[in-house]
Amino acid sequence: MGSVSTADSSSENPVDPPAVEIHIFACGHGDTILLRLPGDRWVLMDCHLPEADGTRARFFEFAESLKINRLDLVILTHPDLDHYLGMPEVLTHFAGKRNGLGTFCDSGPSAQRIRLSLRKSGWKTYRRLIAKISELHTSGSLKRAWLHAGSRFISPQGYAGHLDLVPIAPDPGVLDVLLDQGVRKMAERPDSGLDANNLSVVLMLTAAHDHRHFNFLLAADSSVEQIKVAMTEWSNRAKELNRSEAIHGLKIPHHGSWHSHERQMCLPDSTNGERVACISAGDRSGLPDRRVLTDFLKHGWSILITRPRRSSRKKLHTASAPISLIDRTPSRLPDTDFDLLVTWSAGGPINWGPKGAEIKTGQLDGYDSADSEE
Amino acid sequence: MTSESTPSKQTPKEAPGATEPLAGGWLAQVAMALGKGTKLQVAGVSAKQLDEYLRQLRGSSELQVEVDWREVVHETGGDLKRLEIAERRADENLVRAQILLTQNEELRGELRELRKSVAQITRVADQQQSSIERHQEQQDQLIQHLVERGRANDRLLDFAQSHKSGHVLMMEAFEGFVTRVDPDKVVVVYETETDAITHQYQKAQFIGGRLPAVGQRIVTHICVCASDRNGEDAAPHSQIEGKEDHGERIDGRFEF
Repeated sequence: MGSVSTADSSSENPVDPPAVEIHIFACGHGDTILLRLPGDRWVLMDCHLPEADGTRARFFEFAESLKINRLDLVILTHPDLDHYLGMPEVLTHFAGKRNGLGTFCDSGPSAQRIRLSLRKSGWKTYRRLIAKISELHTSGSLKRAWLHAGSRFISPQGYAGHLDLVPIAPDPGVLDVLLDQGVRKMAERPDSGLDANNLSVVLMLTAAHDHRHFNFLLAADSSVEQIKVAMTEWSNRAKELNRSEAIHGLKIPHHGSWHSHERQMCLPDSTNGERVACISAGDRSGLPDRRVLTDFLKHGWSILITRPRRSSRKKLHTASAPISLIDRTPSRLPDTDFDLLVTWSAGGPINWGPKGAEIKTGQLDGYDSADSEE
Repeated sequence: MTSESTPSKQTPKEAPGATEPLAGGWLAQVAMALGKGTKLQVAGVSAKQLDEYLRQLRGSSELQVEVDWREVVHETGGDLKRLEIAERRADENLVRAQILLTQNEELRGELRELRKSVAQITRVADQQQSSIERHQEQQDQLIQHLVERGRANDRLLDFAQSHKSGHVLMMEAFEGFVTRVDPDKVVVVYETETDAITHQYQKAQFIGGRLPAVGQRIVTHICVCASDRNGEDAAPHSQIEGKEDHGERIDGRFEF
C-alpha cells in the first residue's frame, strides 16, 4: 500500500478553459452520476444499475451515446447497494475496452471492513465488487486509490487549481466510530444493518475561469451531521483555493431525505445567481420529501428530479383512472424518467435540463412529507 | 362620623365594625373614652350598621347620639349593596382560605410520602443501573470474544479452503517459551532441532488481551500453502477481507 501525491501548486493555464458536464442518470432509487471533465475525462460516481428492469442495458446505451470509451475515475462514495449495484459489470465492460479504466477510488479500508463485516443485504455484491477490483488491479487494468483525511484535491491532468474535486467529508473520526458500532451491532444481531450513509464521501466539484466560479456539491447520502462537517470543511478549502463559497448547484443528498437536509446548503448567496438542485429519486420511501423541495424552492433554487411526479392524489381521484391505479399512496406513482444534465463552461452561465424534469412550487401536491424514511 | 370626636367617614372596609360588626363594641368604647355628654354625629354608614352601632351604645345611655338621617338614607343605595357583596366575598374568601389551608396540609403530607417513594425508587434505579453496567461490561467482553473467534474462524476457513483446493504443502509445529512480556510486545524463543528462533508478537495479536507469562511453554502450528492469486478458490474468504491492498492513499493532490 503506497500513497500518491503531487505538488499542491496550481497548474499553469490549461490548454482549454475548464468545462463541466454533470450527467445524473435516471436509475430509480439510487445514484449514477457521470462527470465529463476537460480533456474528455470521465468520472463515474456511484452506480445503481438493476438488470431486471433494463436500467443496466440503458446505462450502457447512454454511455455509448456519450461516446464514453474510458472511465478515468470511478468513485464509490459509500458501500450501500443503491450506490454500487452493477458496478462490477460496469468495470468489466470498460476493462474490455483498450485502456478503458483509470482509477477506482473509495474511502478505503475502514469503509470496506465495515461493509464486509455486515451481512446486510448487498454484501455478496459488494464482495464481488471488491474481488473484481482486486482482479483488475492485479492484472494492471485498474489503479486503486483511497480517500482519507489528508486527501486534498482530485483534478484532471493539467487542471489542478482550475478544476478540482475537493473531498470535504467524512470526518476522519467517523469511520472508526462506525466500525466499532457496526461490529457491536453485528454481534448483537447478525442480520442487522448499519447505516452506511455516514461513510459517504462528499465532494465539491469546483472550477474557476476568468474570476468566475462554479461550485457543485456532490453530497451522496450524507446525514445532516456529515453535511455540516462538509460545509465547514468547504469553507476552509474555498479560502485555500481562493474560491467563492457559494454553491451553484448540487446533487441533493440521499434522494431528498429530510434526515439529510441541512438548510445551510440552500441558503441564498450574495451573488443571487441562478442555482440548480438535482435529485436522483425512485418511487420508494416517499422520497424526495416535500419539506426538502419546499425549502429549496423557497430559497429560489430550480429543482430537477430524475422521476418527477405529476400524478397527484386529487388528480387520480377525479380522473377516470382505472381502479388498479388508485393505490393507497397514489402520489407515489411515477411518470417518466429523465436523465439530468447540468453544464458549465468557461465562466459562462449554468445550463440545465431537461425542462420536463423541473418542478415548480405549484407541482408539489404529488409529494409527501415522510416521517419515517428508510 | 364627622365631628372632632369621631373618625370621619370611614369606609366599611376601614372601620373595624364594618368588617367585624360585633367585635368588641368599639364604638361604645370610643364613646366611653370621650366621656359623658359627647355628641356623636353618625354619617356615611348603612342603616344596618347604624342599628348595630346603636345596639352597641345601649349600655352607654349618657351619650347623646345625633344621627344625620339624610346621610344614612343616601348610603342605603348602591354603596350598601356593594358593601354587602364585599362582606359576603370576604366571608367566602375566608372559607376558601380555610379550605386551601386544609388542602395545603394534605398536599404537604402527600409530598412527604412522594419524596419517600422517590428516594426508594432512586435507590432501586441505582441498583439496576449498576447491574446494567455490569451486564454491559460482560456483553462487551463477549462481543470482543465473538469478534476474535470470528477472526480465528476466518483463519480456519482459509485453511479449510486451501486444504480443499489442494494448496496445503506442508504443516509443522514448533515449541518454545516466553522470554519477555513487555507492555506492547511478547518475545518467544522457539526451539528447532538445529537452532533457536526468536519471534516478537504485538500485544494486540493476542486474543482477548490474554498474554502468556514469562517462561510459559508455547506451541505454534504452521500451515504452508501455495498461493495462486488467479484462481478463484485460492482467494479464500479472508484474503479479500483481510488483504490490506486498497491501492494508493491519496495524500494532498491527486491527478488522473
